[in-house]
Amino acid sequence: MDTILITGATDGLGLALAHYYRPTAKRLILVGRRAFQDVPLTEFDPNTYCRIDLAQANGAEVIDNWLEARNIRHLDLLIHNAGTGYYGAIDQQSWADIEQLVAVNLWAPIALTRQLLPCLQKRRGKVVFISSVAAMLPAPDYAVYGATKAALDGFARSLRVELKGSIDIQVIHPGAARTGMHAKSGISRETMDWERFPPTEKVAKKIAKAIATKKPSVTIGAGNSLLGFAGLYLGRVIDRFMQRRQR
Amino acid sequence: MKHCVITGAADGIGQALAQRYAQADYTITGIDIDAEQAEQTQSILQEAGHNASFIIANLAEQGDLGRIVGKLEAGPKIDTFIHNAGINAVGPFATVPLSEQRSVVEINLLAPMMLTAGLIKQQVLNPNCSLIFISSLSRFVSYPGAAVYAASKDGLAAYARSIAVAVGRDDIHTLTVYPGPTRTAHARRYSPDNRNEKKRMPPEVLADKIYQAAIARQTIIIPTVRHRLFALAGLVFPRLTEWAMKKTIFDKLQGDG
Ligand SMILES: NC(=O)c1ccc[n+]([C@@H]2O[C@H](COP(=O)([O-])OP(=O)(O)OC[C@H]3O[C@@H](n4cnc5c(N)ncnc54)[C@H](OP(=O)(O)O)[C@@H]3O)[C@@H](O)[C@H]2O)c1
Repeated sequence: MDTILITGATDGLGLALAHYYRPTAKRLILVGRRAFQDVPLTEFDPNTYCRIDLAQANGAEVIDNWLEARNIRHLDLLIHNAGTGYYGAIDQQSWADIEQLVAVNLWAPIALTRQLLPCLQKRRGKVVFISSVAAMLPAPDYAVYGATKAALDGFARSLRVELKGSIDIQVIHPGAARTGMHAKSGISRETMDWERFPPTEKVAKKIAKAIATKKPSVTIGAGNSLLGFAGLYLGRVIDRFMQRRQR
Repeated sequence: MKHCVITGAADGIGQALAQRYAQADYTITGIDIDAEQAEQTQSILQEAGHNASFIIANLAEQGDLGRIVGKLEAGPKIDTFIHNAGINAVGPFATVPLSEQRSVVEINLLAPMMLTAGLIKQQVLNPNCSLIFISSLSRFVSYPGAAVYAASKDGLAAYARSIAVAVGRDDIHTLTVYPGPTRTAHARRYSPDNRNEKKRMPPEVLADKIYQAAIARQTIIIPTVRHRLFALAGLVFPRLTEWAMKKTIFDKLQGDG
């Protein structure tokens, strides 16, 4: 079966995806920034875990070296899931924070895809980018996050054409899920009642099902699909509506 | 007198924008990395009796971004800020050096986001200010052979859209421009085939369209009818435009390399 690499597998959707693939994958490689003893991956072999902060400029090389040291030179599935958010006013976000979001959400997937192209090519593998419905909608309270996700879409759309016939490229847009990301992004419990969002196992299962298809771009959930569609095709109407709500 | 700041103003579309806004009696502050070309553009503007100065800076350097915000804080408040500077790195993604791709992200996307945040924070924008973002027609279609460029321009357009909603409450206006090929050194440098250069829009024409759209406080422009149709085709028949872009750009780029 398959050799699968998942970034950001220490929490939320990434962790749920790791659990989903564990029974069937031949080899699962999990990437995260925390120390192994601090992550809830007890049923996983420590040897499957590559520790790296993806905000670091040389993250992709570190991962590649890690794989090479273990003689892993082919990859069937690469899931770019690691992501980080920021919630708040445009001018409150520090430059360091803007830089961090671009580094983790956009640059790391670009650099890692590039670094692992040879491994993927050997297996006619697949690269999956976990974007967000936020990429298709205006995001006044998390503009930089939305920009990084939209940029992933643009990257994938063009790369797909380039690599047609050798590597599959897919973008997945989940909607809100019940993960720690909202709190990590600075959203208070009062602002966002995150417990009403679907649990990670459920979303991860839908993501894995989408990955099993050949579709170039999938939005998870009917409601989110409708939102994304409206965001793309009724752009101005949505924007005016949001603008009015902001006043 | 109104104040217009333009990144990448020494040459190409930026220079044409500087001239267009100067004609409308704006004081121009250009930002550019090319000191020599900046000096020339500044002289041209000044000799025509306009108020113009340049800040020489590298938008990929955070120190320089800090210096830009500092200088702008010390000057008159800004009525129009145009994020025009942009670079490309063309060729198959697998072969173009990653360092070049990184600069594309830094200059085309990271710098505009940092500058916008910095300018709002330091309150250097006038209440009715226009923020103008130059994205690309690639937002609606794909751009094989420049996937990271396409990423940066999609990101910029999405950012502009969010900003429009976020700052709309403060009467700040945003305009996103989706130009197709323009007759500039940028296009010549990055295109696989320059035989049809005459078909590209002259930068003065584009600059005027941008100016008019900003005055009318439009939020989006795709400058020509042909490109509007192409953008529409990209939304409705993405496979078709992908195929067209592959044939006209990517296959030729690969043929070269
Ligand atoms: N939750 C949602 O509502 C939602 C909606 C749409 C899209 N998404 C996207 O789905 C993906 C997963 O999000 P999630 O909700 O599962 O968030 P999460 O629970 O916070 O998990 C994110 C994962 O990424 C890791 N990560 C963050 N920064 C990193 C860095 N610098 N280096 C290495 N790893 C890093 C996190 O590590 P730590 O455990 O150390 O924090 C964690 O493992 C993200 O790309 C997110 O943008 C989420």
